[in-house]
Amino acid sequence: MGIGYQGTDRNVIDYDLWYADGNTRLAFRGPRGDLSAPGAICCIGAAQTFGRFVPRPFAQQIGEILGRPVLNLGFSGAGPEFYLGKPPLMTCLAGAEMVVVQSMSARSVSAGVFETRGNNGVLRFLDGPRKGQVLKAQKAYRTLREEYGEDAFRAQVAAVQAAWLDRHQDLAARIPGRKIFLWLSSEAPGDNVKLDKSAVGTFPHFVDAEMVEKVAGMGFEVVTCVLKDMPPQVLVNDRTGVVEQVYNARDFPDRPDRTRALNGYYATPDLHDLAARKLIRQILSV
Amino acid sequence: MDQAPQPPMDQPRPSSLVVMIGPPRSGTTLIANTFMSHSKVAGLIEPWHRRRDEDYATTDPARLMAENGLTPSLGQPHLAIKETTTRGVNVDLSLKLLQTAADQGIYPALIVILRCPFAAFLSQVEASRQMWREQKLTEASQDTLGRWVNAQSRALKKITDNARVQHFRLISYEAFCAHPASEMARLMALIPERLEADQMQLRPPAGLAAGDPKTRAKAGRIELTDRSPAIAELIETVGPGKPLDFCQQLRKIVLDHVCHEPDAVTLDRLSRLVA
Repeated sequence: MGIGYQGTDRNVIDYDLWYADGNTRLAFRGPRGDLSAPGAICCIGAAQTFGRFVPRPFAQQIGEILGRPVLNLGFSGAGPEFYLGKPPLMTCLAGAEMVVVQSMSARSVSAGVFETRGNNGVLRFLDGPRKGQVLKAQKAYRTLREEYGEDAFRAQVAAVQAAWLDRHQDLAARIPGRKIFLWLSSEAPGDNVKLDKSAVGTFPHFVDAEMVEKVAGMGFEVVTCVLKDMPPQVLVNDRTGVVEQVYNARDFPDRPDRTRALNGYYATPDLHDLAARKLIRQILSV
Repeated sequence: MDQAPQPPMDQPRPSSLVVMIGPPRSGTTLIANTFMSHSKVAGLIEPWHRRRDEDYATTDPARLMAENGLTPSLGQPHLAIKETTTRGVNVDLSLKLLQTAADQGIYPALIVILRCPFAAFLSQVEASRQMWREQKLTEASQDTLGRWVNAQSRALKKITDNARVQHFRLISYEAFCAHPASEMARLMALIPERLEADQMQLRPPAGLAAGDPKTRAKAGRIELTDRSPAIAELIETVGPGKPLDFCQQLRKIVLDHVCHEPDAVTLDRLSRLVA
């Protein structure tokens, strides 16, 4: 989806996409790096790590401030299995001096009645009346709750939470270097999983405080970065300075007009700045 | 307030306009042809240089397309123009075209193509002797290198002064020859489109002329001529001085920095060199 973001967001930001390891299908956020650079810090995660709408994502900032090679391997919609299923990326992570694992959504994990598809942002029903259908993740969970019932929904959440932990155990086992788990959210761990009004809660979806504690037990150092009530980011054309309606009416017909030039979902530049400072403090603490 | 020139109502506009420019004999034609052979890109090779005898100077994207036999279409929403810095006016017109495109709401993008200056210079001497009708640069000497350096540094200054106005990429011929697929994929992502398998045929797209007879002979493969002995001889011939210093610094930027660090950092190096 990196290249997809470049298409929708190109009047606001240039993601300087690059392709590693001869794979011309897998675009990463620039500035480019070397997957085999010694002493590299690798950052993996979803669109938050990629840095949608963010001129200087936290990965770039820690590289510049520490003077170290840092690879931003963030990918839209990624869950842990996105990386576990790509041997060249796992080789890179295995050779890295340090890996920052951003808190990825448990929504983006295959388990229970859902199988992740594409960039993990869409899910395919494996069972029940919707079997075989593919829906965007949020809609899929809403549909599951409405059509399969509350019990099935709760069982599904428990299944993806367990699978998410298993995948992180796999990641931990295959990353011999230092590992930092970065909680990046507008909510503290646990406060994001309020499923009474929403089928998925707040990012990272379905990851609760108990799961974060278990991740710490797997050898991850945990850095918690929360920007409560994260103010929305006004999207501005980086060439003209004019407010830019990235979410235009043609491509996003359901979006309220007042939010067409606002980012209220992805980690904003303020949250990235905070994450960079907290990560640097943690990295230098040992 | 000045109004941006608008195209005639009956001429549709492309959604993106990419200018690809670099010193002559820097692989501009090969890289541009590969870029333009994407199914969604309409391309023009040296629109102003080819028609220099008639002082052709159109810088309105839609008009430029119409006057060169191209029709914007939904199937080909991107227009790419390739020029070289052979004449200073080529650079001026390229930058004016980008500005006009931006004023009209077309996404503008710049791709700067570079090559080891010694290799580019020697290749130009060779081409001038063997292929070009204007035989202006047929000898490699301190004088001719000095004039070449003056012209190229002036052109590169204009480009670096204006590159940051739009999104841009730097690419070297050497890096493209070493990693053609990933480098071309990186350039395509600017518009953004995915690399297509046919692009790696490295042939001029239908309807576009190849740059010169040598390029036609090489179509379908990349052949990086080893000019090391000739470059060593040239350096010996030229001797110490400003032209040699400039070329050595530019060569270091092209070989050690372009495609090895963020383009913005490399552009800063280039800006300092040509300041």
